[in-house]
Amino acid sequence: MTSRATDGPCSAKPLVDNLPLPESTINSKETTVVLGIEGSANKVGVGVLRYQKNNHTYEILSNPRKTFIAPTGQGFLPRETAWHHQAHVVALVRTALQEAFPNDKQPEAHVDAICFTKGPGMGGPLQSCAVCARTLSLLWKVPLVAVNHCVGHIEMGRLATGASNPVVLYVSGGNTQVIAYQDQRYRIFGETIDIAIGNCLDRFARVIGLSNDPSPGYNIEQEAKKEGAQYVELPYVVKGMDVSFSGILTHVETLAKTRLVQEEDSKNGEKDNSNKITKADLCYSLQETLFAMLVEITERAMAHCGQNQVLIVGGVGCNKRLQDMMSIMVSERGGTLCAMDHRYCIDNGAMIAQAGVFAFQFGELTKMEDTWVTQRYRTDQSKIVWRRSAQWKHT
Amino acid sequence: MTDTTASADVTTKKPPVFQPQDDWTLISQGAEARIWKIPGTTVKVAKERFSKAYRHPTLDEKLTKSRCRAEGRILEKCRNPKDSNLVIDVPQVLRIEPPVLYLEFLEGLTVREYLEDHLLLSLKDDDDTEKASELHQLAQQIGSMVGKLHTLGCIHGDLTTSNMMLRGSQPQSKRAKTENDNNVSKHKITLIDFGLAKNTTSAEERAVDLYVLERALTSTHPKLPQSFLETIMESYKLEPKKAAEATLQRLEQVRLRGRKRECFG
Repeated sequence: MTSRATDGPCSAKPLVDNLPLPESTINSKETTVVLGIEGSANKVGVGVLRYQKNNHTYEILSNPRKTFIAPTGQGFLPRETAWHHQAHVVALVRTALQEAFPNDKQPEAHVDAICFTKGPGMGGPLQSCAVCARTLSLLWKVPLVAVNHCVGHIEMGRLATGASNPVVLYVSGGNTQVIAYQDQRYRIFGETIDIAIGNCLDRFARVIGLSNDPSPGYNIEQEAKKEGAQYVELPYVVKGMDVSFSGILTHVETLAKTRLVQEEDSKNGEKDNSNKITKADLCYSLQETLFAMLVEITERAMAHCGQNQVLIVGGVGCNKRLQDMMSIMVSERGGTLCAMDHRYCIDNGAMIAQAGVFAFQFGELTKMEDTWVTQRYRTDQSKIVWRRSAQWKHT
Repeated sequence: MTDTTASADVTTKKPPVFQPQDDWTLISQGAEARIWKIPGTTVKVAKERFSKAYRHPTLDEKLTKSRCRAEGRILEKCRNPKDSNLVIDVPQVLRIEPPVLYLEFLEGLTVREYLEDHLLLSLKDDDDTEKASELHQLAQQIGSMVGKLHTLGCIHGDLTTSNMMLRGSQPQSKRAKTENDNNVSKHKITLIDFGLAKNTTSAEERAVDLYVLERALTSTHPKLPQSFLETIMESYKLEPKKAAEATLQRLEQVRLRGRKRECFG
């Protein structure tokens, strides 16, 4: 249950696209503190975020998190994940508050609002965290703010990098989207038409028996780095701005079942491995193919919107190979790729607090009866009231 | 030091790099190709698919070559189909030399420019009948063109308004004097950029093609009236008769599946 509160305050000044804060009782206070609760997938996290009016900065005071790791060969199931979150969320809230306000007997008195993930995600885990948020709201008598998980990633990314209006590639276990801001919505320009990239990688890791600790994607990345990994041709599926992964997954699964080098083969010193491929070959080729598809659609979106900054958010964004490929593409276009950061790549409470505090400062509160959660909640469904509604210009 | 030797090795392995001539002018650079204008008695265009450094060299070469060849073949098929009723206006192919495709030069606006700078600029209500009927005609043309394309056994793969041109149309600034000439009915739509086109008759692929168009229209032109898309679909239905029904049914499924993506995003 480690907390990463060492990032220091982030100035909101570079975010020229954000509107000035409206005048209200909330915004007249010197500091605003919100608590963010995230638990849409296998991670449960609580973050405390403080806004300081005098220098217009947002600072993560604490951000502890717990991850549910499924046994090798399995994915995380909704029920067990929900149990995990229920077991840890209260302790996480305590830790977050104590770390944010040490030596304070009543740290909860600082909290002005509670932000929680409304969706998208898995129902059980979402519900578990929403129940916690509602309870705290009633106990402490503070308002609730429902947050779209994807918007949380984007807002934390914008603030941490100071990129006011980037093209966003959101890649995680449940999402694959290329997003650009347009007229108070985060519009989805391209997305997967079947499974998410992280889902594809996770399921492949299960087939070849890689561990889920720390994450299947990380283990695929390490496997792909092994010396001598050969490129195997795989299907490449880009349809306009959209991508599809399910056919590729089936293809590599079949390859893994029919042509994978068995450990006994190498022990027996068999040399007839001409038609055989190794786990490293498959991991390497899968990464090369999938990431090339992602970089291609991101480039299309950049060309389409005339923007030259790219921000990668979501768990798969931690992959060094994806970052390398993206940065090659972006630098060839004379643009910039925002650096990867744990604050917006891996799910955490502070990013929910970040998107939540924007909504809170603009008076977007959620009534108790509207605090239900939903598995289906598209990025373009929530209105981004804190950004300019100016007409989007195409090139 | 190590860097220079490494890059030298890579260049020796690569096939001869395409070199544009000095008098060629770059008219556009897309995400994966450069379009060069070649002056001469008949102006030509070279579409150069450039290598992508981020891709694995094998994958890069495969994609560049196959996309260049496929594009040339499909353009040919659209221009000279067996059934002459199915002719679609596309740029003429002059030569195919992967990674370069030599094409006829087109003068005109893209439908996207035309919509944004002209038709949708001052369209407030439905009372502007002239513009409304022009929009209607445009939608009909798009619908029947896509219908023909699908009947031919092709899908475009990237149906956006930037990939449709109006032959001979002029930007608004130059147009003032010749207002009457600038009417959609006089300009046939030319479909360009077959970079992602494919030969297929599957209802699924056709439906995805339409879905891409639908999404491109709503995301690029938020002001476009709903009727525009409906007209496209109606005109589309007229073209390939039976198959169209199957495709539109499939489109419902693709849309639903698109919505299913709301689940976890």
